[in-house]
Amino acid sequence: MGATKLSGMQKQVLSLYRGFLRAARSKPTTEDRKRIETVVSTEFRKNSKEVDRKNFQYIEYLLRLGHKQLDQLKSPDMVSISSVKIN
Amino acid sequence: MLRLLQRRICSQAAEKVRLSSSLSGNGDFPILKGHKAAQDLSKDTLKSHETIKDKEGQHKVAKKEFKIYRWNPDKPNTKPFLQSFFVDVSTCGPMVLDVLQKIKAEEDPSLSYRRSCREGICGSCSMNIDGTNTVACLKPINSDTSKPTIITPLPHMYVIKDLVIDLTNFYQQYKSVEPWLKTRKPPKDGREHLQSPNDRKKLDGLYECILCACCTTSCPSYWWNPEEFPGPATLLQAYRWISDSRDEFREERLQAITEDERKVYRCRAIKNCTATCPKGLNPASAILKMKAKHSLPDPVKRIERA
Repeated sequence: MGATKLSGMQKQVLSLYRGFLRAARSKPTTEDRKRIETVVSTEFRKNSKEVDRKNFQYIEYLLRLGHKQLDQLKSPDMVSISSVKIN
Repeated sequence: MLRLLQRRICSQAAEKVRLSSSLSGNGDFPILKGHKAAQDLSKDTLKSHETIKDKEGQHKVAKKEFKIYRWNPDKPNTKPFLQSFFVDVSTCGPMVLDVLQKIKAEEDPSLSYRRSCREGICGSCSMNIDGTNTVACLKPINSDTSKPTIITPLPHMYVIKDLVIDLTNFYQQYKSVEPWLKTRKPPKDGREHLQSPNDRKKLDGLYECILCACCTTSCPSYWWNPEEFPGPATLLQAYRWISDSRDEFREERLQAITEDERKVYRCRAIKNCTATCPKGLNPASAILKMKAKHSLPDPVKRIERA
């Protein structure tokens, strides 16, 4: 897994994931932290399986969306995030 | 039943336009005296309406093709494409925004675009229509039905969905210029910062900017350096605050905007901004005046008065 060199886009995705986990660590209660971590990790893992590696436009769109949500999450008033699936 | 009612209402509106155009000759509206951009716009609108109405007063069905840029992030595997819509322009309002509303109401509700005032003052509906960046609510439909009209989002911007783009960088650059009055002392009479009418005249052509981002997204210098170069809209507003007589931080503002080659001096005088501004403003001249103010402080006052 670590042998092949990561592309620039993969590094951006990983740094965004790291940013989310760091933001989670700064929240007051442990259950808030766990909730954020589970939501973020399921979202990232789902997208890594479903989204085609060559679909750059969609991956960049998700990265920009993720950065905006991370900026919102960093503020001390935000306690947790949740995700809803509509079929 | 509803369709019949619609036609009657539309024909009343068409009648009013016919009356006003006959009253004012060939489209000279006296209220628009002195506003060249508005006069040109009203002449274009009347011309396109003339081609639609019929001599007998009946409606001529005129179906025009509109090719609109579509991309849906909820369907990530489809690439962006131009979708064709055929709209009867004789039953539709005169501006491109009216066409978009009609398509969204009748044909495809998933078409996404920003809009608010429908009168060219909010700057929400800015998009690229037939190759030019304008606001859709002030652009009359080109009623030549043989050629399609192509509507795409503002160029070189990240697309969120269909015609909606990401303007956060643009707004952050506007914020970075500190677009508010900065003073060191409280006002002289304790209540208001007074300004003479001559000083207020210096702001004409600068304060009307609606921040639609048409000029900034038409500038090639901005396309190649969006993070660094503030763009013509931001620089126009920087000049607006520099030339405001009530502001006491003029030197600091000018210094901040001209200190390195990444702000004002990235401008290459391409002048796309002035050509495309829907309000008829001139960002290129404001940038030139700022460059002149930086290199020679006093003579610019004489040139400005002339």
